[in-house]
Amino acid sequence: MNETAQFLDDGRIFSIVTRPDTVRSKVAIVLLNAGLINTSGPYRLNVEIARRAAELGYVAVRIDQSNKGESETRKGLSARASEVADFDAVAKQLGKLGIDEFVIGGLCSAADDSLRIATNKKEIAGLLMLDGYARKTAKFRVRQIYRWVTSKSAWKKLFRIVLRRGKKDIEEETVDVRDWDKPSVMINRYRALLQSGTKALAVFSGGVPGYYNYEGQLSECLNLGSDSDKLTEVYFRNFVHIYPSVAQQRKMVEIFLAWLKVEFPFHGDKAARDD
Amino acid sequence: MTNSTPLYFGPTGECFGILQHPRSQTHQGGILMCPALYAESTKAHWASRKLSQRLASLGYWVLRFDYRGMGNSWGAPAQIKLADWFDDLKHAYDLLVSHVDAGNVSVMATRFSCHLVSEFTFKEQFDKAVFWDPVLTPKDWLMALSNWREIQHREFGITFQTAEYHAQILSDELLKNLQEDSGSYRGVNSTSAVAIIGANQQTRIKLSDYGIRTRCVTDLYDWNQIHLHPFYVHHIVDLLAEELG
Repeated sequence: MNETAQFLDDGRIFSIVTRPDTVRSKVAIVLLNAGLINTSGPYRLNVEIARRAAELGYVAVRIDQSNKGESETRKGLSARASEVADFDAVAKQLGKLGIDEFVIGGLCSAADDSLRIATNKKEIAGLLMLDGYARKTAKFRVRQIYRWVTSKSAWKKLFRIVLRRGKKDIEEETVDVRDWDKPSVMINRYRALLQSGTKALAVFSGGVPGYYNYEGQLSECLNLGSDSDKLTEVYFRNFVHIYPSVAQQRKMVEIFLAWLKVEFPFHGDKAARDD
Repeated sequence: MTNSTPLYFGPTGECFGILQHPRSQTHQGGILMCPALYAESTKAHWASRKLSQRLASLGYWVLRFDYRGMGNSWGAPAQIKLADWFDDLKHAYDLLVSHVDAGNVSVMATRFSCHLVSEFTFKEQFDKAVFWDPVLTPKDWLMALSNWREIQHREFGITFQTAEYHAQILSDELLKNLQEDSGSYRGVNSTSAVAIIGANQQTRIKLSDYGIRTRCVTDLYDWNQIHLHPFYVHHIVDLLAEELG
């Protein structure tokens, strides 16, 4: 396998394309930035995903979206318009390699961005959602209360707040950094994509207890009915959000690759399966 | 739009780097920017990019790179030896001096890279050496890596084992080298060196003993929080550019 690092779109977007020795699929993996972390990803997560996918025969590209990592801001474009323009630039470049379908995704904000970008993009056939969106369900709230009541640290925290007469420390203020629309909009967008044929792998770690705490929560809130096979949902309660553990990273990547092989088989494999 | 070239270099193209071209007509020389390693590298990425752009606008060729097993370079962290990183430094240095005079190269190193660079200066002479928050000894650095990870894990209530973590990211040979190395910054004596640090008096005294001039960022500066405070980043970039430019 080999890698080519280059700036696309008149130098606006930085990308690294990982090409297998033998390209076995016309589907490419596009990995976006996790938060503000550059192309390599947290603890090199994106590097690991890209290179492991290339070992199998898929082309993979990790990019710095506008105003992140090595990429410049797109002047005159909003953040949301920029993310679509970034994808278009990458798709155009990969089109030269004969790639016509994409699995797009990544961790956290990358998953959020992917969901938006995939809307109205027929060439996006798959989503890799690592700690992506999920709506809080009734079961989630019950479990959250139970977890809170049985948590020593939660009681300690409450005690500290009471002692300070209700005032929270600056450190205790949680900042909502996820760029999510209203739940109904998010659900409709997600559902519409899956119903139109897009496939999604949603992997959740134990690092997002504020909105996800049991396996099957996403499927429940999406209520896909006959399209439920389009979504594969996995929950690793002991996994950390940014995958600092090499073992956890490997496990997640294995699951992604297995999903990829089933949902986006190589040309020969697909023909054999159709037969 | 950009005046930089991303590339892979080294005998088999194992290291990833970004070569920033000088923007002004008058070329001032070259600056080799050696990054922090492991999780620390992402914290300093934005500042490093800003600094390289600033230095390029002043007329310098600037090379930023990732050591093997780090960032976008090839290699698995758990298979890297200390000698590999010294080789990477040498290849990065050679790449830069293919664009500028060898006598006109300065180095900017961050965290553990400062230690590597101080050893490397035995082989290659730099015009100036600027260290950003240098790690005093490899042992201190190992401790810092573990502590930071421990905090991360505590936050999510997941058990953490230092030994297990080290085994995942460090080869046995590298871990042994780091644990045995007392780190003395011997190599920098012949170079004009300055360290940009926090308010830690002990660090300042120790670096002065090694012949390294120190500049304090602010009393409130904390390396672990650097990526969360744009003010510090701008201030540090100003200080580093002032020392290098």
